[in-house]
Amino acid sequence: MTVDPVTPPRSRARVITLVLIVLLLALSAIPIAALWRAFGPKVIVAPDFALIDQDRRTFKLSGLRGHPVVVFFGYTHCPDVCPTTLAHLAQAVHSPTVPGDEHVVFITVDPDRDSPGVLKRYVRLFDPQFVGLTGSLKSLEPVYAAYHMARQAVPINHGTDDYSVVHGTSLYYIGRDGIMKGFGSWEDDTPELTQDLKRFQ
Amino acid sequence: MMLRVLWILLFVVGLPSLTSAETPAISVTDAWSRPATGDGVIYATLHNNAPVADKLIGASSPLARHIGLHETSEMKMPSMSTPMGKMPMTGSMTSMKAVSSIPVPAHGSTSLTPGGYHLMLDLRRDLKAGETVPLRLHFARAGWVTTSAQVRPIR
Repeated sequence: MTVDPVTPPRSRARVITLVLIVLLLALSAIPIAALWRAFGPKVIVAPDFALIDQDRRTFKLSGLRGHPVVVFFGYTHCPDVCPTTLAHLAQAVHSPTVPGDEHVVFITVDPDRDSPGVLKRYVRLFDPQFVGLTGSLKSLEPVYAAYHMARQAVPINHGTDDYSVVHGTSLYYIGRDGIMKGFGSWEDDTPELTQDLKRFQ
Repeated sequence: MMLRVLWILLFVVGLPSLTSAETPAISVTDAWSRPATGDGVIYATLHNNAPVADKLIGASSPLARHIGLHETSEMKMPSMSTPMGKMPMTGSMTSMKAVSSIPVPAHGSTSLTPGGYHLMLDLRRDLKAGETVPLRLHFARAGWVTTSAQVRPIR
């Protein structure tokens, strides 16, 4: 005569089923949304803002919903980094492999000098479709903060009032759904920007 | 007679500078600029053909009220803890400062490129694609070197 030391299979299956039912009941008590927030992929809606464009019209980021957007911060008295980035972006958005409804939004970090008129002359050097945004410092500062963009004015030459603005030079890619899709660098060349424009829709 | 003496004098005096001009101590290649309004930029490669180091100490152009020697430097920021989830902020900040000179090593070259050394022009008028910016570069040893920069189209 043999004695089975383990629980018979039928009874073990019953225990597992019971445990699963209890777990499911417990889970159903937690709202699905809370579970999604805790364990789902992190989704960041690009912070919305309302600023003044180069034609002195109010521009709202959410007004571009449905289009991919690239946001870049800079200033018109910046001779090196900002024009390099804007020139590469102008080349990339016209790549035949990019959908073509991309919007490039340039936000000034130097509202004292960058009036809408100054921005208009500046952005159209690169692409007449580019948007140049300015506003009061009071309206711009929350935008800088929301995009974690640091800025600091520093004198270029001691003894003169000429200054440059040290600023964050990340590119922010926002998808058609208004969700933050990725970041880029001012050092990205045209092929890299083209790749990112295709990727971050 | 006086005129002939003057010509001979000019020739004799001018000869050494002419011969030295065949192998200039400093030569400039790939000088270029972008369409610009207000402030312009010039990038170039400076070649030092002499056995001693030299440095660029100034520049002038009829199209600029003032030309500054600048250097862009970058500060890599550590990725910040933001609510950006899987996409950490690995941003960078750039700053631009005036420099008193740009060194050009003996028998070497220095490139003025985006994100590094550059000349910043306080423009008298806008620069348009296709035009040429006359330029004089002042070197500590080689003196003034005349060149020009092409305004390249954006695309």
